[in-house]
Amino acid sequence: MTERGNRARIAFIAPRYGRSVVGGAETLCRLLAENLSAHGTAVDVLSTCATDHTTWRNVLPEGETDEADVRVRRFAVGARDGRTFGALHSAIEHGVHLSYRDQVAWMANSAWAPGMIEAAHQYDWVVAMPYLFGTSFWQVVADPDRTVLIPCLHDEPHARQSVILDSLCSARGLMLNAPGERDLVDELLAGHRGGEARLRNDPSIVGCGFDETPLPSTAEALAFATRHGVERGYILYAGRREHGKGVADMYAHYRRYREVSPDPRPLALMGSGDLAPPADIAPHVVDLGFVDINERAAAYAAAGVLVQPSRLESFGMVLFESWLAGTPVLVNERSSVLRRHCEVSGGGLWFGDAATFAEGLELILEAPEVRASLAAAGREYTLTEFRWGAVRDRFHSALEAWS
Amino acid sequence: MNPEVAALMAQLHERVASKRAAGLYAVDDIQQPLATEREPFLAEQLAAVAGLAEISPNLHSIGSTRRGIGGIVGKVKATLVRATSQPLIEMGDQSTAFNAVLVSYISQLAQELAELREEVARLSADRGPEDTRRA
Repeated sequence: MTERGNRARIAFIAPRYGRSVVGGAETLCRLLAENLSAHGTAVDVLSTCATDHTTWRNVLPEGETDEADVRVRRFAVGARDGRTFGALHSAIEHGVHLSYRDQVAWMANSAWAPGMIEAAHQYDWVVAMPYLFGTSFWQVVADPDRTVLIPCLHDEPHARQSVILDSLCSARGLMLNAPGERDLVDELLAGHRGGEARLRNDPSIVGCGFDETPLPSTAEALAFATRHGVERGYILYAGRREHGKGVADMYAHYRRYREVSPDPRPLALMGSGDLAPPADIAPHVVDLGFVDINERAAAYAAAGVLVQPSRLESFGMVLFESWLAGTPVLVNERSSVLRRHCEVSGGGLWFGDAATFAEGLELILEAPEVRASLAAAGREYTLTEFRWGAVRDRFHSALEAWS
Repeated sequence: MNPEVAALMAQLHERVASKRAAGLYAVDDIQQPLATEREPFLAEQLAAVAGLAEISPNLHSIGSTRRGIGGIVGKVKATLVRATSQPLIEMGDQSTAFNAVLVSYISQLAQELAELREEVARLSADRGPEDTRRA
């Protein structure tokens, strides 16, 4: 751990913050802030008063609170036209090319907080995440020298907008979550400003950390499965149930798996979302709903395999949770982040279509020794590369390198 | 790449190739392009676009912040805008009309697409496992 890293006053910026807030970047922000703070780094969190990422209504009071020994300062969301933002955001999502001026209008109507930008000047470093919100974008515009981005990039049309790529290049540094995200940054910049765009500094891979926990016992896994009325060894999906996460494709592939497998396992869904399974597979799909953090390891341990069909991941938190509980994974090969994790760790396989999905499940589930070997490799990777101590060291080393 | 996982992926691709050769996944190869991870364009989003279809430039926000002569400059500007705004208003009307037609057409396409998706889902559900294996 570096001296500067320890003594510097650091502000984390997240558009929403709190234990009840669901979202990958928001969770990453909270875990990093809590862990760094618990190990002696002066960390404050600057966030908005909003909890709903669609309305951005100011529902929480402005001011300071202490949350898990982290000082959280909340600021009111500034003036914005949600209708204009929604129209431009949808247009980008559906492949419409926007002028630079319209891209600025898109960000101008995203969630931001003028008070937050003012307050950020009080810190030595400002670490803002994720790239897609006005809170991060306008912080980089206002004070690029002091601002580090944890972009949590996804390979999506929004990340290819010029204003976003200019923002990545303006920030003092980028902290990335995984080697696969680094590949994505290189690919995005190669197509920006005729390939002449450059980052100010070499990005650093930091990611999120995990503590070593014992593997859940067979009895715990069995008890979880019994409580939820599902046979142990199920196929697990953990995350939001929406198109953007590849869930519709997973349902279609699962239907095919059931048709070709001699002994198909049920599909269990952990998390929430509106995208329900089609009627023909619904009898074989178990809704675990929101699983409490104390039960989550048992939920993973009771599964035969975790499936992650999302292409839009910058880290893949659920992979690590699954590996820590002793369960291998099957991931979407189109996610360079997830695939790289599996390639390097040996903790899982990847699929590209219904055939590789179905046969990948069969390969993992029909041979207990294959399943055990993959799971052990994934757990080893997690505890070597993403143990909290290693993550903290990488975080401080990055700031020191950019000083 | 981890050598064990490389070997397993090779095994996986061999399994798929041999089953494909036997015709097991022929239907999936045809269906694959139908799958999508993109959120469907929702009716609310379309309504938002429809709301933006009307082009109405604000001709009353003309002014000047120049110290001293700002009032006079502002009045001159306002007079010029009034005198020259007719083509702008006509252009706005024309854009609004064009946008309105375009939004209506997109709405119609969205409706037809939704109906087609429902039809595909219904046909997929009707197709029994036996039919699929034969395919």
